[in-house]
Amino acid sequence: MNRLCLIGSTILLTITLLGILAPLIAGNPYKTNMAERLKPPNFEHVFGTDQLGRDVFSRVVWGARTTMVVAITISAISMGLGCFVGAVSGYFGGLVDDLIGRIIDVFLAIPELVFNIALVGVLCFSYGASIWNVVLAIVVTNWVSYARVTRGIVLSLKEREFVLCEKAVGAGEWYILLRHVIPNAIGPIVVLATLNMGNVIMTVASLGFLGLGIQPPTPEWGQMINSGKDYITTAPWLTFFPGLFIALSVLGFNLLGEGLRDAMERRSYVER
Amino acid sequence: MKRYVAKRIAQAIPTLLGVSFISFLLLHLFPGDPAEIILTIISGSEPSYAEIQRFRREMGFDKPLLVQYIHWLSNALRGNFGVSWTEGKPVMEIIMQRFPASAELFFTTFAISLAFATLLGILSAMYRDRAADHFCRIFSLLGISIPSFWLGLILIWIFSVKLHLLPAFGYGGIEHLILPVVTWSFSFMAIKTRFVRSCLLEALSQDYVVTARAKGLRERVVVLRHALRNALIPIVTYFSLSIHHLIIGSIMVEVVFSWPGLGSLLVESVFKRDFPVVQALVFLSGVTFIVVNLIVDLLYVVIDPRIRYGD
Repeated sequence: MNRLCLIGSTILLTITLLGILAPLIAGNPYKTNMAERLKPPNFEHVFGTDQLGRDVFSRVVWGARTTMVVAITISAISMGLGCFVGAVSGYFGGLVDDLIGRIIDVFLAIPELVFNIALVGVLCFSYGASIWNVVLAIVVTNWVSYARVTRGIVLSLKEREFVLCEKAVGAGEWYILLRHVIPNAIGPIVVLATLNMGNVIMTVASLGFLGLGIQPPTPEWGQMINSGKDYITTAPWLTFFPGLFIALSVLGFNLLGEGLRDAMERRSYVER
Repeated sequence: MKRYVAKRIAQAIPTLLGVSFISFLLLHLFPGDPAEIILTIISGSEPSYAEIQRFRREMGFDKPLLVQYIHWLSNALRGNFGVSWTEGKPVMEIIMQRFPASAELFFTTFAISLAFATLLGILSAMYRDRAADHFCRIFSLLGISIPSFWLGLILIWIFSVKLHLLPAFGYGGIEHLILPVVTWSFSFMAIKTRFVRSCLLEALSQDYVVTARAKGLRERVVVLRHALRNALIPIVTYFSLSIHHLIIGSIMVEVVFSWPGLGSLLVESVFKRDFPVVQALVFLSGVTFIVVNLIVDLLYVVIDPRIRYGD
C-alpha cells in the first residue's frame, strides 16, 4: 500500500463515515434559531452558526451525505453508459466506431463546465429546479472520458491472443466482449473512476456555488458557500468550513487515484 | 504538406458541425411551444394567440427542425447569433463588449502560469524524488483539488477584508487583476507543472544527455541547455492547447471576483434566461477549442521536422 493511497483513503473514509453517521453525530441541519445567528465557532457549535442560526457543523456533515450520494449516482451512470458505448465502439469498429468517435470529439470540444451550466439552465427553466437536472447535466458531459478510455483499452485488447483464441473456438462476439475484454479493462477504469469522482464533486459544488445546483435548504457544500459569501466580512466560517470539505474530498479522490495509478504502473513493470 | 493541412481541416469539419448542432439544440429542449416561451420571456407577460402565431412565422419556428438549423448555422458562421431576449441588442455586440476583460484575465494568467509551471517543473525534474519534487507534487495536487471559488473567497478575506491591501472585486487597474490571476493561476498551472516535469525527465533519459554529462558538463548546463531545449516543443504545445480558455476562461474565478468577462456573462445569461447568449457562448467556446487544436497541430508539424506529415 503506497502512501498516496493511504492518505487518500483515510480522508475519504472519514468523510464517508461522517456522511453515513450523520444522524448520530450531527444535529438537525434544518433547525433555525434566530437568537443564535452568525455565532463564531464555539463549544456548542464547533463550526459556528449561519445567517439563520443553523449549526454549520451539522450542515457540513449532512452535506457530506448529499455530495457523496449525488457524486456516486452521477459517476455510476456515466461509467455504465461510457464503458458500454466505448466498448461497443472499440470492439465492433467500423461505422459505429466512426460515429461514436465523432460524438466524443464534439463533447471534448465544448468545455465541460460551460455545457453543464448551459444545460442546467435550460433544464431548470423548462422543468423546474431539481437534483435530477444536476445529475443529468453532468452525466451528459461526464460519460465521454469513460467512453474514450474504454475504447482505447478495448482496441488494444481485441488483438491479444486470448481474444483471438476465443474467436478461433467460435465464441460469440458479445460473449467475448463481456467475458474477456471488459474484465481486463477494469484496472484503468477504476483509476479513471477514482480521479473522475473528484471532478464530479468539484462540478456539483461549482454548480451549487453558482446557485444552479442543489437548492437550499438541502445542505450542499457549494451552495452553503454561495449563501455564506455575502457574510465574508463578518462570518468567514460560513465560507471556510464547507470549502475545506470540498477540497478534502476532491484531494482524497485525487490522492487515491494517483496512488492506484502508480501502483498499477509498478505492477505492470514487474510483470514485464 | 498541403495534403496534410487539407486533411486535418477536413477532419475538423464534422466536429464543428456537431458542436453547432448541439448548441442549436439547446434552445429546442424546451417542452412545448418555443415561440410562446420566448415571447413570454421577452415581453414578461402572457402573449396573445395572434402574437404567438406572428412570432412563430417571423422566427421560422413553423419550418422543419433541419431547415431551422441550417438557417441558424449560416447566420452563426457570419457572427450573427440573433438578438438578446432581455437586452434587445445583437448577441454578438454583448459578447464583444465582454471579451476584452476575459482576454486580459486569460493572457495574464497564461503568462504567469507558463513561467511558474516551467520553473517548478524544472525543479521537480532536477531534484526528482527529493524534497523539491515532493513539494511540487503536493502543490499541483492542491491546485486541482482546491475549488477556485473557495480559494478566491479566502484570498478576498485575507487581502481585502483583513489587510485592506487589494480590492475584493471589480474591474479596472492592475490592483483588480492580482487576486483573480493568482486564484486562477493556482489551478491553471497545477497539471502543467507535472507535464513539464515528465517532459524534462523524458528528455533527461536520452542518450545525448548521457553524452553531455560524460563530457563533464555541469548539471545545470545539461538540464537547461540540452534537456530543456528538447523538451520545449511538447511543453509549448501543451500550453498552446489551453489557449481555448481565451473565450471562456475560469467561470468560477470571474463570478467570485465579479470580473466582467464572458464566464460571468454565461452565468448571468442563464439566470436572465437570455438563452441566445448562452447558445452563442457554448458554440463559440467549442469552435475556439477546435480551431486552437487545429492551429497547434499544424504548427507542430512546421516546428518539429522530426514529425512526418505523410499521407
